[in-house]
Amino acid sequence: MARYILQRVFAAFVALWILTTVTFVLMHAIPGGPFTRERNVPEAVMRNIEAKYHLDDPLWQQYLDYLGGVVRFDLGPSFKFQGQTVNDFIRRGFPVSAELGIISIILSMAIGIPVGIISALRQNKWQDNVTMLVAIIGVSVPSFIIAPLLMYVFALKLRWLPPAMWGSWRQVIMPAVALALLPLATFSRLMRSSMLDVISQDYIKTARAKGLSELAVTWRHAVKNAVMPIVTYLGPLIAAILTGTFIIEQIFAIPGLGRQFVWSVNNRDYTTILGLTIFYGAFLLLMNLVVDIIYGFLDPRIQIAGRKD
Amino acid sequence: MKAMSVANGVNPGVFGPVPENAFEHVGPAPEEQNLIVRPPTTYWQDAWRRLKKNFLAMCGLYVIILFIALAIFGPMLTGYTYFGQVLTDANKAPSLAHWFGTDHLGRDELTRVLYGARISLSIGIVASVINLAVGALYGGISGLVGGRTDNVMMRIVDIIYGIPLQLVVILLMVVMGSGLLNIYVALGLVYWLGMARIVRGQVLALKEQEFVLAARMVGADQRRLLLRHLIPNAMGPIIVTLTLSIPQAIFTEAWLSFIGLGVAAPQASWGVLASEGVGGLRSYPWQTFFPAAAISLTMLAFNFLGDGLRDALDPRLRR
Amino acid sequence: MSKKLIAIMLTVAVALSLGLAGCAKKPAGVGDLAKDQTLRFNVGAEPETLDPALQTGIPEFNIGSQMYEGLTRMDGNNKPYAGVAEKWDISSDNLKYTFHLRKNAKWSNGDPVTAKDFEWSWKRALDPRTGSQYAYQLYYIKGGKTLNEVDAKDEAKIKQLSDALGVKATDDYTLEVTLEAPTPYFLGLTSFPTLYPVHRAEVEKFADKWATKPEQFVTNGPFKMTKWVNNQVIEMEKSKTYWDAKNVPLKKLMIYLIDDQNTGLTMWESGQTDLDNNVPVQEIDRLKKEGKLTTLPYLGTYYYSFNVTKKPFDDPRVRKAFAMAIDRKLITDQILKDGRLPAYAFVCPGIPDTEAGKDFRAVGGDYFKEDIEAAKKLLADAGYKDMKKFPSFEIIYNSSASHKAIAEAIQEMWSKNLGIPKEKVKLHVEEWKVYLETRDAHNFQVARAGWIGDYVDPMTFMDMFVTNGGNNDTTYSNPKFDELINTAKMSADPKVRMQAMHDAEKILIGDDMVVAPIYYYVSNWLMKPYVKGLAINTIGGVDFKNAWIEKH
Repeated sequence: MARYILQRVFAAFVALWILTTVTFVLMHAIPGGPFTRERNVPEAVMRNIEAKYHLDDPLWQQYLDYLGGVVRFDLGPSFKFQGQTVNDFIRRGFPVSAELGIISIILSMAIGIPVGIISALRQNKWQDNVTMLVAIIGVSVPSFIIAPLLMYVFALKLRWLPPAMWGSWRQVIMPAVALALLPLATFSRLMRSSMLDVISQDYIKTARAKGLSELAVTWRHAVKNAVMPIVTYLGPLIAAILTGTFIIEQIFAIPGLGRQFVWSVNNRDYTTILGLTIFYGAFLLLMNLVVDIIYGFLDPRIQIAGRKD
Repeated sequence: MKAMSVANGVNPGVFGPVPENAFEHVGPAPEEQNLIVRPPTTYWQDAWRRLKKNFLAMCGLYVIILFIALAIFGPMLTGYTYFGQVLTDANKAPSLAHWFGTDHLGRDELTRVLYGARISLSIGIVASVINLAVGALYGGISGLVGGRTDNVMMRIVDIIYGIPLQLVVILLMVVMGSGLLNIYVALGLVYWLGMARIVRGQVLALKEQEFVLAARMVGADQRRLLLRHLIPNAMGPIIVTLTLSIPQAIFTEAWLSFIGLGVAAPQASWGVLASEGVGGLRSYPWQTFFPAAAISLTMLAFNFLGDGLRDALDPRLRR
Repeated sequence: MSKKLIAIMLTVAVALSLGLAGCAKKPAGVGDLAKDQTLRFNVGAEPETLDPALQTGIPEFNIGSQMYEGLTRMDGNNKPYAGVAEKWDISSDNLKYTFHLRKNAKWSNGDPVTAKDFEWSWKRALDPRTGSQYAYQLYYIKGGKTLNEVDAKDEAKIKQLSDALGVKATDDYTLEVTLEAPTPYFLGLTSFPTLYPVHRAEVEKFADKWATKPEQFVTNGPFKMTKWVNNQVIEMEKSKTYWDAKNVPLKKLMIYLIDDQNTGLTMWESGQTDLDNNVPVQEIDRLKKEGKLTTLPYLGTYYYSFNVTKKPFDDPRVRKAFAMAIDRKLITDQILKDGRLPAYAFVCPGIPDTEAGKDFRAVGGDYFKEDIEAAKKLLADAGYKDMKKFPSFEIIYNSSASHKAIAEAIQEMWSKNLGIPKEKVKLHVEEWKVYLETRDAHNFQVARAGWIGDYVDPMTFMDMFVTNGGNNDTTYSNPKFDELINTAKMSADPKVRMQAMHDAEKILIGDDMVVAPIYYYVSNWLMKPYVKGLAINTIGGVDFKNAWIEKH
């Protein structure tokens, strides 16, 4: 196992390096730079501005300089927000995005998984159909519609909650709910489908025949086997949601990383694009490693490390 | 684990060299040896037979067919065009003249929703095909082969996950210009990653189960193992992932169009109509409601059909 | 009358009007003031920087103008009035300004604000190593442009040109400024952020981090920053060291940094903010009907650029025909609905002409009329008799709901009014920076564009179209036009200047129709009725120095 993890960590570093390189090439390939503006400055002045940020160096040198910084955990200064660094953005934004993300994921699992189990046990009964309807609306009405609707109803009409911004627990409720809808629907559908698969299998039938109560059967066998796809889905989801989602952060004016990231692309804020991409990439690789290790615990027959014949 | 290492052998002649004509065939022809299915009804025929019995699934199918028909013929039947503006009639609420009201340029919302179906349904279909053809296969191979191959294949997925999509999209737009085809390309680049991970996870678990062992023992090759045994048994999560990823694709199209990759205005998809309407959600709610309702209805239909398909394709439920 | 006398009279007049305004604005009894003198304003974006020399956007300006004070401040009628400078003299050739600074002007840490602070700050803004993108606001100073364009690595040259720059503190309270050419709007510019003083010791101590933390941020305006929660809010309190603190009624400012317009609107409607000027287009109709919208003039023109070297728009007759075939009133009344005016010339209204009380736009008048028949005739003259055979072309615009709506409307109008088959009038949307690069590379046929004035003078609109001008995306080049602009720039006689600009505009629009003007901008505000005494100028600036919250 240790050997496997070592192998995976090595692969992760290689992947991270490729990710950085591809992103570096892409962002320099697209039109516009950090200082492209509607009002053009004289060329000599533009050269001076670019020199200030070493954008006049050859690309390979900028690339090497950047990698040198990354190795020292220095993601560089932002080109857009003067006097601030990408490390500042992560230090400030990540705790916010992560807090909102963790609450949303807990919320979506706490509701989605039981709902999925119930609809599987009551397949094609009204409980199943109602949850299906809710789940479908949850995925088909996107957050850019749900979020303003929530805000309109609960902040403007009913005045129960503050409309936006970050700081108090009351400001967490609406964004957490809006953010939780899609994973909630996904969890419940995945859970239902896996449960149906498992329930029809012989060992469950055997267990039931042995006289175990339905609930016990469900818990002891079915759920444990049905969580595989949930765990698979959870890996990238945690990485994505904890590093921030643009639409929710934008609409609810939450100072998270998701907004910062989209701005950085819009502004061609090179260091921020790269820094946040690396941060997200590393998180994602880590989560997927954790997922694979969990596979082994869930089902000891799984040998992700491969076999020696 | 001994049996398994035998089964895992790529070489079917595991019992050592035997002269080729030492035995005479008495059973089925050698090329039919692997066929463990009943010849009269194929897997797919059987699935279709069972699907037809599922009332909700068939409703879903009919609704989808109806929507496709409406997308093709609907815009000709409303008496309006999707582009014809009457600026003085802008933002009118639904009425007899305009069943779905008008948009901010006084265009008939019904006609625009019907026309938008063409784009959005095609996006949904393309996204599904990509999910199945690329995602399921890629994930399946990765999970089945396992080991170092799996590590490399899955790290590629992680890298693509990590690359900022907006950069790719802008580059695509600059290089190829705008148009529906380019949307398909953009979706093709990314809309299979989630599926690949799900299928790979399922295959990892399934390939250690008894029925796979059995299939291997009778000499099913890797390809057959994957397509006939592993993927069908992972159909549940596949269908769920598929049906849940379609609306994401439909809304991604709206975002791609906003950046400049999509179809040129005044053509508009459901996603574009909904996202343009949302700015006036309080004043002109119908501009958001109808395209969003169209998407929801379609998804509902897809889901009923998807659930029916899952049951129909489940090998364990075959009778 | 000598210039000096005029200057003094002007100062007195301004002081008087201020005093009077002060009487009218400042409630007689404290009873009219609300207890809580806190103003909550959504500025609409996280500021990119609070360093005045590096600022480029309206949100930054509107945060800066509360914390800083230049030689002058600008009132709600675009008139500069005494700020740190108590009074000033202008030489008879209009080239030399002598500013007399008030002795009681102080930084927020108690240091006096001196002429040397200004000299140092202006030189810093022009220093090529600073990397200011708005340094061109200082190019009017003798040697400014040359200094700014020196290679940033050439330190000896920078020092030499910096010493020779036309700005000199002759003593602690006198600043002498020499200009390149007569610039009637220079006084107004001294209220602009790039020309604010910065606190030298602070800047040198904290280098590029100096403007990021309230605890180390030293400013000289009516308010000082106490807290900056990134992407959320900037808090300011009234500065005790400000020389005119007794005339600043507000005790506290909460400047929200919310960039989503609909969220900003919800905040305002639910009473979380008092003031916002980012109003979503689709809600304007409702807000207007509910009496919640305040629409103010704004110095800007929205237009469609023609690439004058690309077929078919290389022919002025074609450009004129297309400009004449747009129904602007429909666009302003049905799509935008906030009372902005259709544009039939390039320079927007709101800029004074030479004669007192006259507006440049009113004097110049319109340069064309909408007339579909005449347009068709022009096209026929240009050789396009059968419009079905008109070459297909593309309109580019950047991603935004309102740009898209206008582009779709114009597409339909050109197609319908001129009889061009619909598929030949193509629309192409581009992401903002891609669109900027496309325009800069002149790689378009028709492009949506807009221009917001930097200062209150027709020149801010006119000089962009000179041959090879940095912002001249149309590739337009006309020696006669260039010459008129040059005349206007060099002349000390206001009459000659204005006439040259009128003549130039006639060539630009009336003769050559280089761009098709669509409408003149307005700015939309959401104001609670109890917010009083705001000074909002037409280039987007708002000043809270004299604002107060009325009892409500």
